[in-house]
Amino acid sequence: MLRPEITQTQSEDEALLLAPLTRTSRGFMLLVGLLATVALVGIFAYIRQLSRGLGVSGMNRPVYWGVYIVNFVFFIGLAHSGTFISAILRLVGAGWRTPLARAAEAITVFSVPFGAGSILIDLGRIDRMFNVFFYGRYASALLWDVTSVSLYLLSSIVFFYFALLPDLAHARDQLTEVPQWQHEMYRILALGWRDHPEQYRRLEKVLDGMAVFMTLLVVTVHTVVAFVFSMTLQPVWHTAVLGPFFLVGAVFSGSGAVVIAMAILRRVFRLENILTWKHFDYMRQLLIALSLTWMYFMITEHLTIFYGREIPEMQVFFQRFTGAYAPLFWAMLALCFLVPFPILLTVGKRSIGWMVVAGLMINVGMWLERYIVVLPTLTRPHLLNELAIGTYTPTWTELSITAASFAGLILLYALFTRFFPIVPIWERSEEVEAYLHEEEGE
Amino acid sequence: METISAVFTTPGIGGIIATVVLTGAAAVYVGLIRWVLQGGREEQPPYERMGWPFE
Amino acid sequence: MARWGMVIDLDECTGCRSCTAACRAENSVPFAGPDQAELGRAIFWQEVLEREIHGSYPFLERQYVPRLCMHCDDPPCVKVCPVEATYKNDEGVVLVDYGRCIGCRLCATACPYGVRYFNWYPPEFPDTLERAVNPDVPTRPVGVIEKCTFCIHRLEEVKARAEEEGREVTDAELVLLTACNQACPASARYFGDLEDPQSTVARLSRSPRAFVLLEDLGTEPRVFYLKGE
Repeated sequence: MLRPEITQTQSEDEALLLAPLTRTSRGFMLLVGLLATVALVGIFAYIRQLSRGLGVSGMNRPVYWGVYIVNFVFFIGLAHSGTFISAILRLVGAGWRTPLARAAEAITVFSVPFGAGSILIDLGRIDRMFNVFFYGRYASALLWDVTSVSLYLLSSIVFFYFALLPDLAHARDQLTEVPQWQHEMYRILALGWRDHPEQYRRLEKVLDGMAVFMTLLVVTVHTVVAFVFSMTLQPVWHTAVLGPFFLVGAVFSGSGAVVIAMAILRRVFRLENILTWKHFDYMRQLLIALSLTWMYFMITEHLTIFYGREIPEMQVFFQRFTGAYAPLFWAMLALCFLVPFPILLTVGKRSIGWMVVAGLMINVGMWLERYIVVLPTLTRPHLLNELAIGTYTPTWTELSITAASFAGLILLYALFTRFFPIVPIWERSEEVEAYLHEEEGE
Repeated sequence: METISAVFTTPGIGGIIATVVLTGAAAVYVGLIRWVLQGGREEQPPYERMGWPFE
Repeated sequence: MARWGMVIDLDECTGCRSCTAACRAENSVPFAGPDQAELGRAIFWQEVLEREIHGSYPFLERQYVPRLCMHCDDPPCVKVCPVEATYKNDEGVVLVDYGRCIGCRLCATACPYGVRYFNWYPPEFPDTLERAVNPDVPTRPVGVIEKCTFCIHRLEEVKARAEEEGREVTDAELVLLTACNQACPASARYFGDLEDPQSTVARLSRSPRAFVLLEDLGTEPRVFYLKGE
């Protein structure tokens, strides 16, 4: 069995990346305990909802959708940045992404289930969920959603797994002092990887091919999520801009999350030489571009509505700008753009701490943005806007399930980093580089 | 035209298409994993390969 | 093939809401109670919308618009249902299959008329309401959508009786067939077959006073309103 020769610096880096896999720190146990508690509260809340009915939520008529649907859009959106960094940037040959790719893709793999889960939690009859397969019809945007999100989940897991394979073999071979069950886990998951140059060459080909497919999938998935809203006739929902807007928002919020993840991993696992300042700077530039694009869509959408002055649309417009949703709307604008953008342009250039602040603001702001898309229109839909009766206050059930979803995502992520290297080791290896260029050289 | 629209609106057909797409994708992925893992193994005749089915 | 429709004369409607009450009684609509109603959970298959008062004193007027399911010819709700739990039967009535509905509520958000309602809790019929539940109309379980059915149970009964007697259903049997029409003290409502050019609804729907709600959306509703002396 061939194994790549490791240079001195490489072995230092590698030791750093494999170190977390060999011990459990107290901080980690504390974190897991805290997250598990939050998750359990949410699970209890859901079981109560299951036994009593969706009446325990704040939803009503005409506000038939609330926080659960907001979570659905948000988590699927969060997932897109992982794919953007690992797949799309791979296609354009942005080499700087390599150390980040697994950390970003892990966000994808762990948020899509909570996105899909949020929809299931929202169903009035989850016991009938398989009706979607027995009686499904593609005339409904919901079935496009089910298909594309399921395909995205499956493909993300496979894409993630492929890129993890050589490192699983590495852990199998290098980590001799771990408990037996852990070693067995690496051995089974490594699927007998032999470190043969031909395996690496095939792996690269598959990753390149899947990167193309994942890119197409990302565009499809979030556009289809937008279609569920834009294919109805309701004011402000029924617009062609919703698809692209959702897509940009998704990559935007996800990139903010990647920055947060990078900063935490860098600090906790002492990866200062691997996740360098250069990576933060590239992410900063990416976030600037995405902020501007997001703001462009915001302005275009609202200017168009305002200029046209159509009555049903103006009702929703004023709900956002001056009405019941004004505080959240302006908070969203502040958190998504007005505050983080100057930060990214100035102090973000020198400080990772400020980058994290910007990333956090952007994520909170983007959750609010999803809320602002869903709720105001539901409070002022066609015909019923005359009565101005729509109001919505989320209940503790909905909020605890939301908190549990975030806790679940972070918990799975933390568990992953405990047992698997969060930065790809094989992609940094010079020997592997050589294998891949051998074919081209001859 | 009628048949085309019937594919979209008849309940059940959509469900079948979705199932086919997802199982098809899963089958393709299993095939790809096997192909990648078999790199460098062509010289060995098939009946000599034993053990873990993915090798 | 019949195509059922309704005509409501807004110049005769007094806003008394007898239609709303009759519909709830006829169709075993569950009790919501004041707290749930406050939250917006009360179910009204037929509801009277109050439009704003206009005109100046002493010539003030408020328009009442009894609103029920429009049974549109191009229903946005049917389009979006992922499992065809809502469908338009071959006589044009838009119905809900309570056994198949998964409670996703996409149809409720898609309907521009706001006619679709959801069972947020298991249905309750306290005290006397229990005895008043109509045996001809199935009650709905928790977690599914429900809405106006053009009193299809009464329609089926009338059609069955006519077939038994070997005759066609007459217009007279149809005009006040639905519970809402039957209860209207102002005789402002008519039901019938839009395909029969001589029926009351067909003639009234062709009147120059006739209009439909949200016509621009292209849903082609089968409930017509009359207004303007």
